[in-house]
Amino acid sequence: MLRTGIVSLASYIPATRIRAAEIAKFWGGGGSGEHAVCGSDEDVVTMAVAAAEKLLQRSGIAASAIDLLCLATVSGPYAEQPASNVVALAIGAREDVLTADHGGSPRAATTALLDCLGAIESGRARLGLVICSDYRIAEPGSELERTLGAGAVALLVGQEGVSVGIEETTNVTDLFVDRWREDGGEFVKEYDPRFHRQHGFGDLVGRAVVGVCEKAKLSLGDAARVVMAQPHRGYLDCAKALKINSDQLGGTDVLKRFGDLGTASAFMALGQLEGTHADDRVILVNYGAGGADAFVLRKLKPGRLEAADETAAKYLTYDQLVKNNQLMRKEYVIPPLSVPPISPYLWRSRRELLQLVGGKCRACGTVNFPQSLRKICIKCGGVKFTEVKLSRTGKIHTFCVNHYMPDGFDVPLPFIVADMDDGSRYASLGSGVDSHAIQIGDSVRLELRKYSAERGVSTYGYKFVPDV
Amino acid sequence: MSWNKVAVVGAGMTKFGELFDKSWEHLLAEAFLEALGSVDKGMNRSDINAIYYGTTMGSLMGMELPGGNIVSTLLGLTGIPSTRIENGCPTGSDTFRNAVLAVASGVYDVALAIGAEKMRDKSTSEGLLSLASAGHPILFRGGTAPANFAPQATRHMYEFGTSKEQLAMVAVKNHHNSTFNPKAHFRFEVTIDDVLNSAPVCTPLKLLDCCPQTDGAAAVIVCRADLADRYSNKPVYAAGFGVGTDYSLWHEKESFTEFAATRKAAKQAYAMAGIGPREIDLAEVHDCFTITEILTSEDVGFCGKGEGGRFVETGKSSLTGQTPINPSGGLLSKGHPMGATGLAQLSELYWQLREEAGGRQCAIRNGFALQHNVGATGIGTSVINILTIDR
Repeated sequence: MLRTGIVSLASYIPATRIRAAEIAKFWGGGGSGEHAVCGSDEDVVTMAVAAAEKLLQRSGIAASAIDLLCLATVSGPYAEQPASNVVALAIGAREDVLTADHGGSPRAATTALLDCLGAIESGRARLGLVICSDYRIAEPGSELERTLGAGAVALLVGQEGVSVGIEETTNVTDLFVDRWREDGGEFVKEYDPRFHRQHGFGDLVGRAVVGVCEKAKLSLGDAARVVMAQPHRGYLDCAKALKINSDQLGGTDVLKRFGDLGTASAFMALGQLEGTHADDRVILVNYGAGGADAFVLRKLKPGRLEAADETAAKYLTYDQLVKNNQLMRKEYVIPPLSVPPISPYLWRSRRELLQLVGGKCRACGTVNFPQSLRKICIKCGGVKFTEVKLSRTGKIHTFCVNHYMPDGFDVPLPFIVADMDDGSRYASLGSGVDSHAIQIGDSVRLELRKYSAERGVSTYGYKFVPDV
Repeated sequence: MSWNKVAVVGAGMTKFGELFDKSWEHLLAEAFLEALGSVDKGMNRSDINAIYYGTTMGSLMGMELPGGNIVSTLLGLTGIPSTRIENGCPTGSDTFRNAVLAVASGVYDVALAIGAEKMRDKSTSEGLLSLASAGHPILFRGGTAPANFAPQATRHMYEFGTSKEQLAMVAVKNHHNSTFNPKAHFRFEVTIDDVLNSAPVCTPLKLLDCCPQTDGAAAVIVCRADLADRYSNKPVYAAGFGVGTDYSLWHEKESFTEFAATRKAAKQAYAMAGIGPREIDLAEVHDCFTITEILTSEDVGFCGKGEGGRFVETGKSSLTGQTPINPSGGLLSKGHPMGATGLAQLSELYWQLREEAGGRQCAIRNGFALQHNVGATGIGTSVINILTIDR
């Protein structure tokens, strides 16, 4: 077994869902299950930050301890511009952290893991953070539209406090086009699912599983569990062909409940794995477009890697999805930000707006925020400050709900002023808040959201979400 | 403090409304000519020594970097000192205050305070909602005008039980008052039900809780008090003024059930005038939204904290009440062309104190009237002027 392994894992799935049957009401045809959908102000970056913050909080590890941050995605905001850098800044990673953007196909999740393994085994790094985050969109009316889902999973990879050891790995690479999206293309496409499920996923995953078992001198029947990426129901046929019985196949809820999560699929299934004991062998296999990576893992601790997600789901109708994903566009101009997204104004504010840090006046204790606008204490006129993190949780002090907004704003739009847990106040737009039920005293939490995407550049900031 | 007395000897305003066929320049000229023509004993245009003009939307309406000479030229007064004043919604009030200060200093004998706004050279949604993308790109994003006042309504209703019906009563009262004001934008009555059934704009505010988007101009002429008799039979005087400022970012504000800026401005103005709220015969206050009048009645001391709803409900601020508020119809019904608003309110006080307000005339007992605006970023600036007439 390698010294390096998975230390801990956390996931983020948006609360917004849509059922395949709902889509079928509009387009006809069938489809079962449901999938998660990014809220209109969420994206790969905001989901990645949410999963990473959950992980760091649960494991009690500081972002400053991370040496290598790998973001794996095939649906990030940019073809050229590292989304990993936004994530690194938002979580508070060190300036000398190495960031890497892994892509190409959902296989990127495990290439990112292998990247961390390589760096840590070689001694170049001590702690790695892998975040897999995807929300791919398919053409409206296509079959794929019924299954592509949104989610993110973050893993800490290191040599201390390992809970899942890595015994063996193998990789298989072949040329196979099953799902693809060309540069600049909006929609993921696929051709002939019956063909590619069998000869793409089926063959290559099969070879990877067999190969890793050989390498590890493990008979497949001796593995307590086999966990596969779940891009489509073909994974069940593949498992059958490998004679993996149904108690052995683990984490099988992911496709049914959340959809095809792309890079996040395999690790999401790993996190959901039930009923394992210490020393159980788990085979994990990830797949993407002609590539498969398989691992023989050993659970060092019993039980699930992550507790089941209890977030109440909010189901959309198809017309709500169309609006949410801007599938149908009016000829309108979304009001631009008051300064261009690449303005020095936003660059000056990048830390304070992405990490929510303010300056505590050394003379009177008042927290001044944002510091780029507050060089003199608003209360006492002091000029010396100590950097402090703003509180992220609080209760609504007052609010309003806007029903009349320019195009491009989600109406009804709540604006919330909250009494934060550290005694300060914060004011911000709300997101995912029930505008009809909102009350003074409700618990809220600040989470990163996308404020705008103009000139091809996305701008992120915090909004209040319900804190359950 | 000691300062030289300043008199108000003329006032004028255009009709307020959607005046598509009148330019900003045309409106200013019209208001100026009416103010000049209103001087009891006449005044030559050449008597004016300095111009102070207020306009807020300049660069949102294609008028970048407006300088003083734009207005001196269009008024036919090219050559004399002319300065643009801007202070958010209190622009008009502060324009007046600056003109008063200029004359009180002894440097100028006569000054013109004038303001105008074209709100309707853009569509209602584009103009109104352009504020949603102004200010700090993240912290103010989505901050429309109603969103700047609605949270105070929510909290005031929560803490003091102020009802949406009481909010509606402000609109009912002010719409009624404007039926007596030929210059008002709207001149129709509304009922409480009309207000409650109107479209939701920003909870708890409905459409009729909100002022309209209005074009208009207003002007006031001030002079040294010892020259007032040359121009006026019944001069009105500036008794005092105040400018209050409060923190400018929402999370910095201490209270959402009052406007701290108004309270500070009121304290200064009353102290300067040597009076208290009980001496005020009537007031023109900033009712951009119904809640603003309710809070203001508390903030300037016409009633106690939390009592604003009951104050309007019991008729105390009606035309015949204890302290009539917004006899002109207020911003809600008369309209709110931002740079002109304060000056239109001052014109109303001028006419009221001289008992020339016709069907909307209020009782003048002590001879003091108060004018108020509040606004600007974070609703943190308030300007109050108190006018008086010799009794």
